[in-house]
Amino acid sequence: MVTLTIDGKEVKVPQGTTILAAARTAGIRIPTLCYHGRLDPIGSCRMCVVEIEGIAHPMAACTTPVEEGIAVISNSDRIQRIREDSLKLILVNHPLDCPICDKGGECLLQDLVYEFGIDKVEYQAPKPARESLYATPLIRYWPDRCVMCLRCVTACREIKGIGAIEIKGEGYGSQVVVIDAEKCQSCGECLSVCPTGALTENLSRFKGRPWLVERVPTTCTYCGCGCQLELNVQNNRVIGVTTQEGKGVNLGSLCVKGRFGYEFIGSDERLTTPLIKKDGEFKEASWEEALTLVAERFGAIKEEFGPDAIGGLSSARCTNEENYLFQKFMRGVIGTNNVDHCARL
Amino acid sequence: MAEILFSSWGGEVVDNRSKEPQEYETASKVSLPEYFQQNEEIKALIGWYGIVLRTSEVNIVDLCRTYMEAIQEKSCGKCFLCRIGTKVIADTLGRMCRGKGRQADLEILARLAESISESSKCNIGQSGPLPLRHALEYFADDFALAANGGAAIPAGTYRSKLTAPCMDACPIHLDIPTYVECIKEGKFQESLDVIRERLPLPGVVGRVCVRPCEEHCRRTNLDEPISIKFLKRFVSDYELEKNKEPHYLVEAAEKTGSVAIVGAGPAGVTCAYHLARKGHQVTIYEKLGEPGGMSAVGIPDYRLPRQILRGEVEQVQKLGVTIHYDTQVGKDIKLSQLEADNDAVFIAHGAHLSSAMRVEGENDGYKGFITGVQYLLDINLGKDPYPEGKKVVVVGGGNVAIDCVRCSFRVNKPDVNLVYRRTRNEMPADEVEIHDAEEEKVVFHYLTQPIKVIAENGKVVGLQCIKMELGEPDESGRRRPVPVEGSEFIIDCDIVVPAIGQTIDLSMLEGIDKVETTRWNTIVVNEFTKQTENPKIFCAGDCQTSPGALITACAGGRTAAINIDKLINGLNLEAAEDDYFDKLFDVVKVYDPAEDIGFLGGRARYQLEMLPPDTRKWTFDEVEKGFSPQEAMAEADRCLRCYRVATIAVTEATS
Amino acid sequence: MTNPIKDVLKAKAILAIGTNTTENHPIFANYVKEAVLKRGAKLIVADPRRIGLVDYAAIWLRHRPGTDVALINGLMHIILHKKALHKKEHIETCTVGFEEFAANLEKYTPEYVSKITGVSVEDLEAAAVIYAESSPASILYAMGITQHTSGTDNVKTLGNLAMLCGNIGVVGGGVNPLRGQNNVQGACDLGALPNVFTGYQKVADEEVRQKFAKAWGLEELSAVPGLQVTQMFPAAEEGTLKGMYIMGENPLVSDPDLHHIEKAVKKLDFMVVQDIFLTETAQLADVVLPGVSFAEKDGTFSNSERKVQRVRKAIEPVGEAREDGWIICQLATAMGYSMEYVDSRTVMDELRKLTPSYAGISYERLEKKAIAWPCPTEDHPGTPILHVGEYACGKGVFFPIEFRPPAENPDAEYPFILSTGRVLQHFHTGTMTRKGEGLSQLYPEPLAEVNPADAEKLGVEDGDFVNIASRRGNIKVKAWLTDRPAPGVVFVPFHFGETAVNQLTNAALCPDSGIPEYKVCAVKVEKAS
Repeated sequence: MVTLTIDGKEVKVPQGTTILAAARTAGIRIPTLCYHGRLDPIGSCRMCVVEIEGIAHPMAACTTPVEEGIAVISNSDRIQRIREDSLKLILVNHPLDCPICDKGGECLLQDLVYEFGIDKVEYQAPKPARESLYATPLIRYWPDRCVMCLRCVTACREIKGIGAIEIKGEGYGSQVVVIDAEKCQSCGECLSVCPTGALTENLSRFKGRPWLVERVPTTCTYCGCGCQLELNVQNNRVIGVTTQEGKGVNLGSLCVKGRFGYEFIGSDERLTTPLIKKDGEFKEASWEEALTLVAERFGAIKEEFGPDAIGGLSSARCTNEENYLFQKFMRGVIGTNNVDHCARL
Repeated sequence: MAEILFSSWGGEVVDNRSKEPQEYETASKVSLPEYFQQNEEIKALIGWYGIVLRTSEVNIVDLCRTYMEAIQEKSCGKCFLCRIGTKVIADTLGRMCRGKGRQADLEILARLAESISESSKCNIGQSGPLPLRHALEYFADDFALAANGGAAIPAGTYRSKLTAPCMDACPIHLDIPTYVECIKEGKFQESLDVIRERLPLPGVVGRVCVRPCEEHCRRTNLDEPISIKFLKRFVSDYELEKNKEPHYLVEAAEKTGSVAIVGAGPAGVTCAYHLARKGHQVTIYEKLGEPGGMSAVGIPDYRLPRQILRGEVEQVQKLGVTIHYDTQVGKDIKLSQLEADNDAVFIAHGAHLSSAMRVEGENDGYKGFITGVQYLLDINLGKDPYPEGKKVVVVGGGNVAIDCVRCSFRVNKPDVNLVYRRTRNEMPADEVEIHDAEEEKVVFHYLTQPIKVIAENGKVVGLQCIKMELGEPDESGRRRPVPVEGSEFIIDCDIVVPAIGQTIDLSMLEGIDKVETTRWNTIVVNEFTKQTENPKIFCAGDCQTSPGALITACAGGRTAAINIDKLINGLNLEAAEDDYFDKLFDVVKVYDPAEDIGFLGGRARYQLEMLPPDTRKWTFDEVEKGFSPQEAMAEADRCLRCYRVATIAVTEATS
Repeated sequence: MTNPIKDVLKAKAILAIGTNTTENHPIFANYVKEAVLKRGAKLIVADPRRIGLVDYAAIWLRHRPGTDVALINGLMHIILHKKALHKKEHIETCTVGFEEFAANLEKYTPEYVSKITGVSVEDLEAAAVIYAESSPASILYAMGITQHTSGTDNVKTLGNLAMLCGNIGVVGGGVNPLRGQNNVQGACDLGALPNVFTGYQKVADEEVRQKFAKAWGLEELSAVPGLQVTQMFPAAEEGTLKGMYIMGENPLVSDPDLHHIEKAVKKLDFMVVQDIFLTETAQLADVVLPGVSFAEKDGTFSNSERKVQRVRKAIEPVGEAREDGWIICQLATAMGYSMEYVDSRTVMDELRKLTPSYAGISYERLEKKAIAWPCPTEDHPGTPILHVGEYACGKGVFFPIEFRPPAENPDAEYPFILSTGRVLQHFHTGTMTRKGEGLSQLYPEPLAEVNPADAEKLGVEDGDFVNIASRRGNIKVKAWLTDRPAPGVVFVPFHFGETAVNQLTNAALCPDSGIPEYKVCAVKVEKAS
């Protein structure tokens, strides 16, 4: 264990812990922008610089491991100036289109600029006109809004092991571009780690403001990984899927199906009423009619041919409880063990 | 060195602006050559440690503008302040130079320069605004004028160059910060691509390089240097382990030709690699049955496993290079023949003759007297050079001598001695190698000089030596050893291995025009092009430089390849601007070991796991195990990315 | 799975066989890639197709479809007989049946195996050494292993390999089947199988039957194991099965040899389908009951690593659609057996009492974190890794397994092997993923993956339509020229009901598991006019 002080408070943390992590253990907030818990520290935003007594240079808290006996000062006039300058420089070319930005309301840049009360920017540089350089059909890229924190680049490389996007160019002209479009799987990992509205989900664009959306945590309905996600609900419609950093077996990641495959829930083609086939045509029916008919027919078959003349297929789509009820129904009510599901298919 | 008008280099301010020339003070932290290239006088320097002005002709605002534009251009874009902040600064200075300055600009420049240098992620942003801060402080009047309606400033002539301490120290100038950063980011293949832009032998160099880069690593000022060599080895091993086929950028030149190369050592292979990537037909003639030259013969398997060397050479062969083994130029085929049959010839056959010790008995052909090169050659070809012998004395203090002693254990010689005429401190061998040999229990006889090989019945039985003491320093700066009279003694032994140096076999040059040699038997070339006086013949490696580092030979091979390509394409073989910057940086040091970096340090370098001395000393298995990906990434994360830019103001010389 | 998903990060070597992980289990694939890229694990991919993981592999074994037993036996022959890299102590103390197993391996020399599988002797040796020398080593597999007539043999062979190298019951090791569907684990756990009640309690066991009968307030329960899904349709065709109740399944796209399935379904007297869409199967039903999606219900799913996790209702059911549990209960009540539950929690509380492995898994605990079964009591932490220190039923058993070729092999008339499976962008029969614009934009129509070498011989260019025919049917589908399949193999995804590749597949089943041989059948391919 290493002992240090942060703003005079003594903290003990394991060797190799970063100053940022140590501060968080001690409940001391150091502002960050590019830092993301699922990723190795990036160190692009410099918002987390701190002073260390006896060390001339401010150090980035996210990338600097603690040393025995250091005294960290999390804020000072000098640190405040650096952090303000970092934000002001971003605002040099950041469009203030928050009213139409899907991220408005949960944008980290918005929050930080607000927190630091930056009401004017004296720095100037030309705003380069940037066209949408990449966007899969599902992900929209707004290069003007990109602060180049490199979370997306890092996530694509570190989490997905793909590296489809990379920073290219030099200096002010550098930007995030797709270097290998073929490799992109539209998983939306980039989108989910983006702190601003530079990457937005195309399907739910302009559908709901963050503060009006209810987020219901649940388990994904596709493969057997069992990813934890949140259904974003507004007006009884699912308008998007988000995740919580570090949550579940997926640690906040999703694949293209988990993140974008929610449209079926609100599909117009959903069955909304029982149907009974009469003369080869389906007719809408009430629950009572339908249930009575099914009970009669199963009852008749059971009567005439015995319970084993009826088979039931349960579903790997359905819940544990429903599967339990289904086999209870087949075994207890129909009286047969003819129950199976698609495990084999 | 001409006088200096102003210098803030390294924090030492020398201001002669209000003085008469005879009262000028001199700067101690920097010296600035008078000329950049022929006919170009250096008027000012602005860079990582400050500003040096030679005349008042150079406008300080324009100098700063140019420099900050160069900084902005080289900014990697990976942190906010440097990416955008240096742009704001460069634009502001540009406006001031156009006569459109505003009073508020001064405050913006001062504040941003401070914030950027205090908090940027790497040294581009940290060092970039530093001279601007000096300028704002010491040239306040010039800036005030430019900010308050001064006239437009005519643009001067400048040259700028990006470098880094490690990169500058590396003879082949590998882009070390970039490939280390790639490793940090887990982009191992990309890292190799960066290395292979210049060097085809990452696995070899990653094991045996003398690593001048690490000696110039700025992290040393904080704690310990980055383990650059082993990071290079790691990416190469990773590729092998993952069975990845290396990919090479091949871009055929407009005109291609045929080139013969003498020697498949590091210089020859590197030259072949670069020529093949340009589409030239390359044939290598190698005296031995193995590739690698001195690196195959002189470097034991426990430091450089044979299959690594062979594998990397095979990859170069896949680019279309032909190698004729067991073919000695001068004997099996005439150099004149190669000259006649090809568009160019590159000589890189190395220095394989052992230097004489000038002691009694060394030329008498005693059994058990074996030169260092021969000794290693035999062992590396898998045989015991003299099975009868069990007690070995190796003479010399270089890497070859150390290899000889360490190899001796591995061919079952239990008693191994090393005789060196100075002390451990003066030993030219790699510190790590000496340490490892000590661990393996080699007996070191320091301050000892051999005077006679003692033999009975034509077989070595001992080496007579004399004790030495250190006297006055000689021209190399090392204290000269002088014999202590009457201190003669005999070391009993049955093998004596002289390993005090190698010389070059020049017999192949017979009948060749215009290839000159020096009194040290090296071949004379143009330092920038590696071309001999005979325009078709180029030369590099040990046979040109005398025995030296492997990486220097590779660098020579690369330079030769670039110029051979130019020759074939009918271009002028001239030194490039980069070459002149190399010269400049010999004087204006890129690395200052005394610099106080002012960061929090304390992160020791990752050590490679090694076979324990007791086990390893008897085997040829590789002693050092490589990094794991996690270790490599963590080690790479220690890199401070010390990129920096130097800009000079030049004018055409009047006289 | 014997081990948790993230456990793979601790593996020194990973053998991924018959799993196209990056497309079918993308999140699992994240960890496999992290293990390789950041932690230096060596990945061996064994797959007839050049799947995404191949890019991360230290070695790729491209064996012929259906030769998995030979391949693994070959690796074990090298480990045991050629290099003696097996873990002797582990075998002696923890396993039985080794002698017979070892003897059986003798004939699987690298040369013999190379001939069967098409994998070079050098690659076999390299892979065997990597797996045997890296400890721990994890085995991952999915339907590429099970969907063969030799599926059970394939799985047992992988178990043999893991035991041979001491990789069972250790962190970073194990034999790990990746479950293809969100709750296929749960459906099995909760008794949606013909031979067992919940928690794999056998219907043949008198005591078990009595326990359930008592809890359900019934006199007795049937002791006769029921029909598997792949037996139900033949039974319907024969006329012994008269009625079917299908909840949330679409056999008319997912099952093999669809022409037969359709015939069978049409012979049923009565079929009820409960689903959220009017699927291909629902269209043939007599009554369709509208269920709801996972967004409209509460409950739990059990994932591939046996972790039970909550599903939460986010929206109210659309229209008159109702939770599937509600429907089942209403139906039971209509048939004279009252099933009433306040909510899904009360169902869980009932099933926990009857299911020892789920007994300790309460909703209260699940609110805090997911729990892996077996979890016998409320204070039990759950069991992330199975078989630590011991195997499920005492000692691990080595099975001597012989290679058997697939049921249908290519011949002069049907010279190609057809494999079916999934693509990244779609799921199973496409009922969910094809209902929106998003995923369909990325992968709008079925593509037959054809090796360019074959395409050249067939005169087919990228994007041309081809007819693919087997002895059971034919489809017309667009060709995608790619080196993903080996020459002589075509791959077609089964998500597309309108181009249902299961018209072609062979309904030959693995005799033990009843799983059809989706990965191998013989077809011919022609350019379509």
